[in-house]
Amino acid sequence: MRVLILLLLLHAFEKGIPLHAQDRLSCQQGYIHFKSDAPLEVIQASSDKLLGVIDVQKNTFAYSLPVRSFKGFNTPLQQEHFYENYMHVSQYANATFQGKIIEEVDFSKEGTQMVRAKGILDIHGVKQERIIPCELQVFQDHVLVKASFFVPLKDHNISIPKIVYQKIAEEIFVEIQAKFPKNEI
Amino acid sequence: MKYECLGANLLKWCLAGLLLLSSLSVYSQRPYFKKISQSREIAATSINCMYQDRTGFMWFGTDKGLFKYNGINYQPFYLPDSTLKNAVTAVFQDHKDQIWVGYENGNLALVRNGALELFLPREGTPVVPITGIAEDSWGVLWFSTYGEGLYYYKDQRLFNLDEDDGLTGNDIYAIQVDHQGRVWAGTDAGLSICSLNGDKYRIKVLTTAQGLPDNIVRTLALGKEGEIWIGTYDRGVCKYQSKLDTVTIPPAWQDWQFGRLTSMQVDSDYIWLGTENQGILKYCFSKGRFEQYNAARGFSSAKILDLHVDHQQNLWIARNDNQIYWLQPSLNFIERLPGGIIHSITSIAHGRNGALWFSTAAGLFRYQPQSQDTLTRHLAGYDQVILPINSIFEDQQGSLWLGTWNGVFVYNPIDKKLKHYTEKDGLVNNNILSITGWGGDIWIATLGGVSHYQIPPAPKLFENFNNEALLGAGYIYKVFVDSKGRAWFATDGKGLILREHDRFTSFMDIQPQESRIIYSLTEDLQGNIWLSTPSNGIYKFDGTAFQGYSSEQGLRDLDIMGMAVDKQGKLVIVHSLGLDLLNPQTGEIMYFGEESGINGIEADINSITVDADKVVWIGTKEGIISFDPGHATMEMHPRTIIDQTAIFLKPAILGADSKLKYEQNHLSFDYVGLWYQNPQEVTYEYKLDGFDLNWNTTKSQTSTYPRLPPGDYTFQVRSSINNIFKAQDIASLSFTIDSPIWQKGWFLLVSGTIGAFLFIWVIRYRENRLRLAERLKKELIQTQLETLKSQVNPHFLFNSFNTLVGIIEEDKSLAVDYVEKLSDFFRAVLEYRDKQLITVGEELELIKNYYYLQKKRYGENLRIEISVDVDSREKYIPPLTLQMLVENTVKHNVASKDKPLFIKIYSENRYLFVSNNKQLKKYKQDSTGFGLFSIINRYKLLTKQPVKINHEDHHMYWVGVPLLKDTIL
Repeated sequence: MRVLILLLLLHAFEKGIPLHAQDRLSCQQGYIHFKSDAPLEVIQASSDKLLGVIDVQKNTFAYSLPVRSFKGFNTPLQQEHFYENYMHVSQYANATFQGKIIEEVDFSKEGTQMVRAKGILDIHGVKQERIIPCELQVFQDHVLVKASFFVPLKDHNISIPKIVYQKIAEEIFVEIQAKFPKNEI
Repeated sequence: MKYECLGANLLKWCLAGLLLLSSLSVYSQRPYFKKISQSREIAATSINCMYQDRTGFMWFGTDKGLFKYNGINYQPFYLPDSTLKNAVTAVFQDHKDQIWVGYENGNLALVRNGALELFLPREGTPVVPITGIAEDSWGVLWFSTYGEGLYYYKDQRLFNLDEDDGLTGNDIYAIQVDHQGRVWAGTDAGLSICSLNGDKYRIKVLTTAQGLPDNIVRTLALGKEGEIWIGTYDRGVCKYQSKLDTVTIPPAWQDWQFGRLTSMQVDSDYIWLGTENQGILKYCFSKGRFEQYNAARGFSSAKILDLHVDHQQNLWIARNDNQIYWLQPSLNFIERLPGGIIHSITSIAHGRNGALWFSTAAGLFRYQPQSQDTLTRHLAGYDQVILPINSIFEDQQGSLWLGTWNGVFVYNPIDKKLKHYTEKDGLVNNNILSITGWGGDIWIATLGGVSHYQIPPAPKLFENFNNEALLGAGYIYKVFVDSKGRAWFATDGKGLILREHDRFTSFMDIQPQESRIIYSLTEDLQGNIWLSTPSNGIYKFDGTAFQGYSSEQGLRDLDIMGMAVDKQGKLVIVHSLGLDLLNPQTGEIMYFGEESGINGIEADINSITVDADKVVWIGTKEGIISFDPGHATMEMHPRTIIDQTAIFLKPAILGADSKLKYEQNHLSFDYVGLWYQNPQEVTYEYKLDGFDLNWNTTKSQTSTYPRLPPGDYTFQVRSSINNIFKAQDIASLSFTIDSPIWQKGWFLLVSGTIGAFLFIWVIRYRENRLRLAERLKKELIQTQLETLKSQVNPHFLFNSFNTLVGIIEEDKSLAVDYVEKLSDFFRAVLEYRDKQLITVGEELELIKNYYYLQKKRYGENLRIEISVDVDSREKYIPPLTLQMLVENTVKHNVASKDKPLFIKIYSENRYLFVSNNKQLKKYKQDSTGFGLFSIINRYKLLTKQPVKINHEDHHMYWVGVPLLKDTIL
């Protein structure tokens, strides 16, 4: 349900429904990368389909990512396993993270701020509350959000067959980088 | 190529494994983490919160409901409506002892009469998780939520406080009431300190601006001095002192590096912290430093969901792998230290600055538990000379005295100088058994006496006491200097010897034979000397008498290696199965063994020492065990509780002095002796006063009494961990089973009286009847006599015979007939005279015969007319009544041709009448007058209805007799 609202919200942006530009910042092509550093294999993939929106007034945010957009696996088979066997994309197409920024942010002041984003991380259909530290770089014409965090597979009910546990890490390292252009009126 | 790759990976693995091993070996002191076994219902469920109620039961709030734990059983509590979710997130007991439960979906419930009941205030309940429940000093209940801020329940109304009211956030992680009754709420944007003043609330805010290291406050705890401890999200812990109104971060907490906090507990000795991925941290107030228990230090780093310190200061740990652990902070184990694995300790001694000296087969070591945790090796080059060391003593100057089988070595760790003293230097014997000291005195016990050394040394180094000086006891295990400065000698077979004012005293005359081999000596806080024997237990000597403690007193094992007195004044007895803890004042004994992590102890007699902080250190084959009860209330026995009662196996609440009906006489009692250390060990004794004469011993937690007779009862139960039951541990419950109504006094009185009356009535009735029967019998006899008399009346016979003579001549057959009738008549008279009653019909037959006989004589002068209806013929009359009446009539009246006599017999109104026309004879035939009189008398006995006689009429005379029923008698 929340995902739906989020998507509608994002959709509204795309269609250019007039919203107060000062209220919301949006990111259309955020970058996300994950890395599984297991003893026997390192798997990584990335996507630039990360959608994001920040409500500057309310200090809230929402991100959404089509899981199928992850590319760059070691083999095509691995990619298929990732989509179908672990992430079950046909069932859980998107991964989302939405909530609020704990610290007060001044989006007009240029410079770098460290903030913490508290929200519900929904991966593989399992919601977990997370507090994720982020680096917010405010420029004249855009805001850059950088963050990295670990996702324990167990937290999201992503089960790895016993025999492959040496090839997939228990905690996946994720980093994102999202650019939110400031809309000039 | 591929193989190479694999090879490289393997190497990496091996290296990682080695690293892992080496990191494992760095853990130092750690407690024993006991895994709490779980029932099927609670297994594989997230334990969200833990709480101990005032009685001592543990409550676990889980995703699958609320559970009450007594050490053995988990009693589930589910919401009455099965459609409601049972995920519990908060448990709390208010000042009325009610248990409050908060749920993940915002529901609130109360445990009432052993069942959960939803709490439904008019205002409704939150719809977000309840994260905490607290009660302020005025009895107002506070509920913290995750999303809706705070709620408080006051005057039967539920109020809400959220961001709009000035709260720092609506997501509340923790709630805590301080000593001033204020409610602290930890949020994402700092602390909100709420206080109520009448209907008004005040919120004070505490944030990084006031010195918090982080605004996200995850956990709160109240310290022993009223300070509030604040655990932040990932920037550590600080404390707030309301007196100073400042936030301070204690030195040990600066430079936080343990990541995210989840929970915190504070007691008088420790702060316990649960982290998300760094295990558990223990902060010791007295030492001012941390200890960490994580994967590298003997405990998994799984996320800690909750911590709870129980009444005895033991710690409960709920982890996100659904496991519950329990630990006793008083017992700690050192097996490995940076610098080596410790085993086979031969002697141990405490030194200055909290240092610990010990010797093993591998050498002499120094360990400083307070600071570095590192082990340092001493006298490494002298192993060949000094080993094995069997006793160590550090004197006041910091020199180490090492006892060996080859004299004494004195080692100065500062200048590393080593001196060696043997018999050549004046030592009494080279075989040292122990070295102790007090102030400047050093006492060296040997196989051949005792040497006394003084600092500064006298010209003659050693003052010696040999066999002779020691009253024949040259074999000395230990010298103990008590608090008064007196030296006590533990001898082998010669008992205790006291040296006071340079005089030796033996107690052989009063000391029991079994206590004369003494391995160790100690003194309790009351000044009693305690001694341990190799296999006969321990003895207390109060200066006048010896009192023994053995298995019967509750000692677990008699293979005793030594003793020490702990911080709380209790005696720690080290034996092969573990430790016994004895309270010298009460004599109570408890035990630490396998369940506390001690898997048997092999120790030498000089491997027990007590440091300046009164921590007991024990060197064993496996490593070092330390025992420090801190300020914890060490309960020495289980707490006995009668938990539930049932009538006919259905739970029923039996309050104090309950009254039960007589049929409620099948009672079960569920009781428990709370002893989380070793719940399986608890045994019970129970007795139902008023039913049982003796105590029953059992392991069961239930006893049932079927079919109890009415009476006053008191159920008593006590529990023990060593089958020693003390009177003060009794839990009891008094109740009364009422008598049934028929056993009640008033009922007995009433029914007794009624019974007595009935009895008297029956007796009287019977008596009357007997009397009646007797009189009837008498009357009957009289009547018979009379009748016989009348029947053998010569006139009657004479007249009859005259008639007969006349008939014989005229008509023979008639004569025969006449005689037959006469004979019939007499036979009937004979037959009937014995009976009480005959039917009217029978009597009338008799009359007919009589009439026939008289008819022959009187002819038409006598006429008898009978008109009795059929009903009346079946009624009864006394026999010969009619006959007598008719005969009387004939006897007294004229019956002639001119004046024929008409007799009429008829029934009327249940009477039978005999009437005749009155024509009395001029002269009276002789008559006793008995006939009529007899009839009247007999009727008086048979009925209340009178015999009616008509005297008045001049023409008609009649007599009426009542018709009777056969059942009259």
